[in-house]
Parts: sequence; C-alpha cells; structure tokens
Amino acid sequence: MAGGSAKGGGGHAEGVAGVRLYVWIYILLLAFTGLSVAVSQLLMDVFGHTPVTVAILAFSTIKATFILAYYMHLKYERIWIRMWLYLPLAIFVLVLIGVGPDIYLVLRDLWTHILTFAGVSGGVHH
Amino acid sequence: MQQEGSGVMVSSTSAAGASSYPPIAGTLPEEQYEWRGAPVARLAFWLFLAGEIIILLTLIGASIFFRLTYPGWNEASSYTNVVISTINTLVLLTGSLTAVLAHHYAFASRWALARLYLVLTMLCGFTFLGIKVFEYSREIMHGFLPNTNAFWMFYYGITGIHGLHVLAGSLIILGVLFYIRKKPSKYAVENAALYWHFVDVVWLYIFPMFYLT
Amino acid sequence: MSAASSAHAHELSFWRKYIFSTDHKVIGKQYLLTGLFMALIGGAFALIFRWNLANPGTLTDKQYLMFVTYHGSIMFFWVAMPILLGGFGNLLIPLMIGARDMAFPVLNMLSYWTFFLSVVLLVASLLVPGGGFSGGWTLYPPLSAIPDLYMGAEPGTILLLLALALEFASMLMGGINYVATVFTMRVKGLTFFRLPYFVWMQILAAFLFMLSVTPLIAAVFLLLMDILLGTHFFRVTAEQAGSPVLFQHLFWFFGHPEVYVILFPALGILAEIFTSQARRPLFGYRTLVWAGIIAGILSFLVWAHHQFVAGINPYSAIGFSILTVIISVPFSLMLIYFGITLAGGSIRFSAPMIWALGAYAMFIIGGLTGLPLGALTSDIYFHDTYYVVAHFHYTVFTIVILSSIAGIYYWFPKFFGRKLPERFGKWHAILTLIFYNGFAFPAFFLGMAGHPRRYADILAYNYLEEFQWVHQLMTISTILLFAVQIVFAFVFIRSIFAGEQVTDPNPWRATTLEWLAPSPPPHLNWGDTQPVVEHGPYEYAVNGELAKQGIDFLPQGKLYRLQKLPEEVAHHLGGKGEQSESEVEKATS
Repeated sequence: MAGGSAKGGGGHAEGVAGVRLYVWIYILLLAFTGLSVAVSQLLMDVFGHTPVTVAILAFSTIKATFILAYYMHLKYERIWIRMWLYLPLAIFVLVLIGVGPDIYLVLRDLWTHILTFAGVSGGVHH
Repeated sequence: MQQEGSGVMVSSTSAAGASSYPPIAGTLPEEQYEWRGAPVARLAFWLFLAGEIIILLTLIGASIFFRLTYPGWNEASSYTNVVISTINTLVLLTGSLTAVLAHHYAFASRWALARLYLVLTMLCGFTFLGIKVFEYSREIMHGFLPNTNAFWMFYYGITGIHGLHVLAGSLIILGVLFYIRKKPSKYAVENAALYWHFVDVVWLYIFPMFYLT
Repeated sequence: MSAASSAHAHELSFWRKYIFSTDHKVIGKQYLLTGLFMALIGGAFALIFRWNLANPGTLTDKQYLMFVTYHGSIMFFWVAMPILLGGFGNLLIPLMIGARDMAFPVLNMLSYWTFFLSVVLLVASLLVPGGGFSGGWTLYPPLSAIPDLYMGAEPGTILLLLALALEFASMLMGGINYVATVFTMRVKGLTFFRLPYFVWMQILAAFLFMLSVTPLIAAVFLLLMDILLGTHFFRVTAEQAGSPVLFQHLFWFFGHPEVYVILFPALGILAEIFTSQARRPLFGYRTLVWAGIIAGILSFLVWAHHQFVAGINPYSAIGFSILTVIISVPFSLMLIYFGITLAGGSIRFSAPMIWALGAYAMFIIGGLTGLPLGALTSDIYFHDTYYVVAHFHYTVFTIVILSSIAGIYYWFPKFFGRKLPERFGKWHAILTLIFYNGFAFPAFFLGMAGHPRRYADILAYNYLEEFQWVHQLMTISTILLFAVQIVFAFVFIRSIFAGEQVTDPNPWRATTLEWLAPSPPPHLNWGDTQPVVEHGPYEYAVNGELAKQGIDFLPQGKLYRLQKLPEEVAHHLGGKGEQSESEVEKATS
C-alpha cells in the first residue's frame, strides 16, 4: 500500500557505483566467457573431462557472483533481501544431501542392469 | 511518534459496555508503520525470485545426478553447438548490461535513457529466442529429440524452461515499458532488470553444463 | 458501527465489490467459501468410496482409486490450503497487524482467481474421457508418468497436474503477499515479538510453503514432459533409466513441510481461542515462537520418512528416522505450553472453545501415533496399512476440519457481523468428535492387524473378511459425520444472512487488534483512525485498576484519530468523511 512503499524510498541508489563500474564488470564477464570457451575447447584433452568441467563451473560461479553482487545490487542490500538468495541455496544443498545418495544408487544400479541386459557392459564398472 | 492522551485507556470505565468500545485514545499526525529498510516491491520480488531459483536449481541438480550415472552423457553433449551458444551467451550478457543501465537511469530519474536501455534489453531477449529457435530446429533436424537419451531430455527440459523465462523476462520488460509511460516507477524497472539478471545467471550455468563440457 | 461499513456501499459496482474485489476481507471470504464448498465435495467423495468398502463391488477398482485420489488431493490442496492460508490468512493478517489491506491487493485478487481456475481444471480433470487420475494424491510415477497405465486416464492426469501447478502458483502469490505485508506493514509499536501467535504461524507457513513447493513445481514440469514428450526422468524403460525415487523425494520434500504449512495456522487459531476463552496469557510466547521456527527448519530435514520402504538408502533412512523423532520435540513443547496456558484459567466453554479443545485432544492422539511411523523399524510393519490412514486423519482432519471450524465459530462475528448459533455449535462439536472417532479410531486396529490400505474389494482376500464389520461401522460413522456437516453448511449460510446481529466489535473480550475494528470491518478497515500497539498480544488476567472495574484484559493497542488521512482512505471516505467522524465521536462519548 502507498503508505508503506513510499517510505523505503531511494533505497540503494546512493552508494551504488556508476555506469563505469557496470561496463568494467561487463568486460570482465566477457573475458571469463572467452576463458571458459577457450579452456573447454583447448584443455579438455590435456587435463581430462572432470577437472575442466569443475574449472568452468568455477568460472561461472565467479561471473554469477559479480552479477548478483553488482548488477542485482545484493552487495548493497540488507539481510532481509540477501536471505532470499541464501535460503534457496541452503535448500538446494539440503536436497542434494538428502536426495543424492539414493538417486545415485538407484540410477547407477538401473544403468548396470539395463546395459547388462542389452549386452553392452562397457562404460560402467561397479 | 506523537501521542496525545497516551497512558491509561481514556474511557476504560465504559470499556465493558458495548456501545462505547473501542475508545479513541488520541490523534496521530499521519499513518505510521514499522519499517525494515527494504522497499516492499523489492522484498516481494526477491521472494518470488527465491522460488524461481529453487525451481531451476532443482532441475540442474537432477541433471547432475543423471550426468554422473548415465554413461553416454559426455558423448551426447559433444553434439551441441558451441559457436551458437557462445553468441547467445554474449547476447544475454549484453542484455544484462543494458538492463542494469536501465535500472541505473531509472533511479536517476532519467527516463528517456532508462526507456532506451529497456528496449535494448528486450531486443536482446528476442534475439536470444530467435537464435534458440534456430538452434532447436537444427538439432531436431539432426534427429535429437527429447526422448533420445538422458542428455537430450535434460537439454530440452532445462534450456526449454530457461527459454520460457527469457520470453517471460522480455514480456515483463514490454509490460514495464507500457506501465512507466503512465506512472514512472523505478521499482518496476528494477524488478524487470532483476528478473533479467536472474535469467542470465541461470544461463551462465546452463552454458557450461550443456555446451562446453 | 455497522452503519460506517454500509455508508460507502454505493461506491463500487457489484462486480468490483464482491467478485473482482481487491479487499483482503472479500478475498478471504471467497477463499473460505470456496474451501468449504470443496470440503463438501471431498467429503462426498470419501462417502462414496467408504460405501464401497462396506459394500464391496459397488465401484470398480479404478473408480475406487480415483475417488481416493481426489479425496486426498482435494482435502489437502483445495480445502486445507484455501481455508487456513487463503481464508484465515487474508481475513486476519492485515487486521491483526493494523494494516488497511495487503501489501499487494491486486496480486491478492489474482491469487484467488488463479485458485479458482485451478478448481475449474480440477473439476474438468474428473469429467474428461477416461476419468480422473487414480494413482493416489502423491502422484507417484510410474502410475502418473506412463499415460495408459491406468486405463487411459491421460487427459485427466495432465489436467490434474496443471490444476496443481495453478494452485501452487496461487498460494505462492498469497505467501509472497503475507510475508511482504507482515514485514513492512505492521503498525507502529507492533514489533515482531508482539505479533499475535496466529500471524507468526501464518508467516512461518508462508516461508515453509515458498521454500518447499518449488522443487515439486520442477518435478511436475518434468512429469509433464514424461507424459507429453516421452522422456524418462521418472520412469524406467528397457533402454533408459529414470528414477521414480527422485520424484518421491521431490514430492515429499514438499509434502512434509506442507503438513506443517497447514498445521501452523491451525495451531495459531488454537492459541488465539485458548487465550481469549481461558482468559490467560499464552504461556511462553517467545519459546513458542522459537519452537515454531525450529520445527519449521526441522520440517525440511525429515521428508524421507515417507519413503522408508521405497528403496532408499538404508543409511539415510536411519538419519531421517532420528530427525523425525527429534521434530516431535518442538511440537510436544507447543502442545504442553498450550496445556499450561489452559491450566488454572477460567475457561469459558463456548462453541469455539469446545471445538478448539477437541482439536487439541485429537491432535495429541495424532501426534503420539505418529511416533511408530517415524521410527524406522516399526514403520516397516505399519507402512501402507490402515494405521497410516488413522494417523494422518487424526492429524490432518484435526487441522483442516476441527481447527478451521473452531476458527470459523470464533471469528464469524468479526467477518460477518452476525453470530453462529452457540447451542448448535456445541452440539455440532460433540457430534463431530464422536463420529470422527467412530471412523478414524478403528482404523488403528485394522492397521495393527495388518490391513493394507487402498484395497478396493476387501472380500477378495480371505484374511480381510473378518474386518468387514469394522468397515461397516466406519462407514456408518462417516455417513453420520457428513450429515452433521451438511446441517452445519445450512446453518452457516443462514447465519451469514439472518444470524443474530452482533453490535459489539469485541464479543469475546479478546486483546488482538482485529477486535478494535467494527464488525464487519469496512473497506480499508480503520476509517479515519489507526491503531497503535502498546502491549504484547495476550494481556489477559491483568490486575490493578482495570480488574476492579471488571475488565480482565488489556487490548493490544488503542485507536488514534488521524489528522491527515492517506490519499486512498480520503478518496474512499469521500464526502462521508465528516459523517463517519461524527459517528466515531458518538461512539466515544
């Protein structure tokens, strides 16, 4: 209602850096994108699939952090806003911990059965 | 806070009687509410975003478990097109820059610039969708369908729902463009921009998970 | 007082005032009435399949399972949620925090009409060729994921899934609104630890719902892809492995907090009724709030106790079992503190109080019988027997029916300006409790004897024949229970239009802010006044000056006249501003 939203007012307009910072972050994001593509195309054979995947996901996390902190202004918000990022992440971790072991077990066994049944035993060794 | 006649209830003697309850204790200059510094529109939009974040994270988490167990994942993912998806990434990142600039100028009350950048963001959205449709049609023509294998079902599921979010983001911006013609609301611009950034962040994970590795 | 509300009746058209209204009270009533109507439908479905259990062969297996499925879905999503969250939440939250409306009135209206659309889709899913979905309200794949597994119920399944998605969207809009409203629109002096317990419970429920339902929305999306595009997220084919257990996890990650989403508002209702009817402050208010928060956090950690025999990792099952037993601690604390609140109070056995006491007693039974289901070893025996049916009816029926009706009897004067008949309310409570126990209690023994649930034709199994008379007893109880509720439906509708009028805004002598407003509260609630809060929510049994005058409570706040009206209020009061002021004047003098 009007009575409420009027007072929160200017909010984070102060303290937020200007256009220059946004453009710098944009350049940074482009650089990391280029880096990700280069690493995936050139280093996959050198280091193997898993390390490269982890590295690229780490690059993505850096990019996401910049967007969340500056473009989405979480750096300038209080906990009442920030917690709506933290809570979903906590939920995600929770679901992974609870669901993970079961799904992994079930799927791994299912694939073993299916591949064995189809006569293709390669690829899965458990 | 101004309180005239505060203290004990003014007409407590008659409080038991139905006709005179409740009594008026005094006057206030204007309405007063408690406040926690977060404008209500922003708070509500983050509540909404929290839900969206969990939806996308659930899908991505599920894809991680299928990827860890499905033996043919890496081979299947090598068929996706890195060039097209890199271009799409650049389109989304550019959209993010224009969105944050629109947000910036809306808060500086420079509405012409804000409107311009909103239009640019929306164009980025539609460009992304156009490229995505082209990409889908290529893949479908090559015979990769949602029920082909575990990789492709997640590919279509997650990029599909992300595409719907890009569409939603673009339409939200269109709506906001009409809305601020009547009523210049910086929070409307902010929320449209926030939504765009969120869609962008999701893509930052989809891109490596389905195209690069 | 009631004149103030009718003074502006001509301002809005009928459509804007009663149908597409943005007024939180109208939306709350819409939710409440829709929920009660759906309760009759869900109850009628229960009656139909209960009849089949007493007289096997009346329904086909498919029809039986369909009615069971829809009974569960309707009672959870289209009765409990709209009544307890949509209805009571909308009606009471703004009034209890002294606001004039929700933070986003238009979103609120949208929430109701999205819900209404979901009701339409739900009904449509029953009527399409092939009938409704019959794989249980839990929607487990492969029953739900493979289209023709249940005799071609494909369109029905899809429509039910869409109806569910819309219902979730509607309740998400509501939840966002509740949290935003309570965070930002509390009146001056109303700190978080002065909020009425009901409001605390509502926002905790909104938090739980918003954080738990979204994985299920993702799961419903994947399930729809399984049905429509032939993917295998949740089903296993000869060539591809999907995981039905994944769906069960995502469902119960929502499903368990969902029980608390509807339980919390019910506990809030009980707290309000107990304090005002026993004239006692709520014992351990802060501890109760923290117990609610801790129970809310723990509710995210116990979901897999619904899946102990579903093929999950036995080691994680042990962990979930331990956490499940731990979560009974905060709830035991809540119930014990409610008991201490009642102990030594001067209890008024009014109709809402009898309902609330009944709900309290039944919930203790429901809670205690849950322990054998939470403990891993005993659950393996009890799983999927009538014991489970009995347990969740003792909890969920208590929450959905007993607590809601207690709340309806309690707040009816505030919402409608009229009274539900008191004598009828007492008889209604007693008969409901008798017949409810008549159908739910025998189920414990059926379950302990090993009677599995979801069997349509029990005479087909030799070892179940001896239980036939128990089923007949339960069916008779159910019919009588339903008959009592039909009478209540008539009394409810009659009371809305022709009940005894209530002139006193505070008939229960309760403390919270909603009792400062006129009954029924006018549009924008407070006219040209605003409450300011000065006390905690439950200042009963006060001593001193007031007690000598026969007043044993301190209202949570006082009304102050506003010198400068907010624009919206001034616009609404229009030319009548002066008139309503003189009216308040008259009331004060």
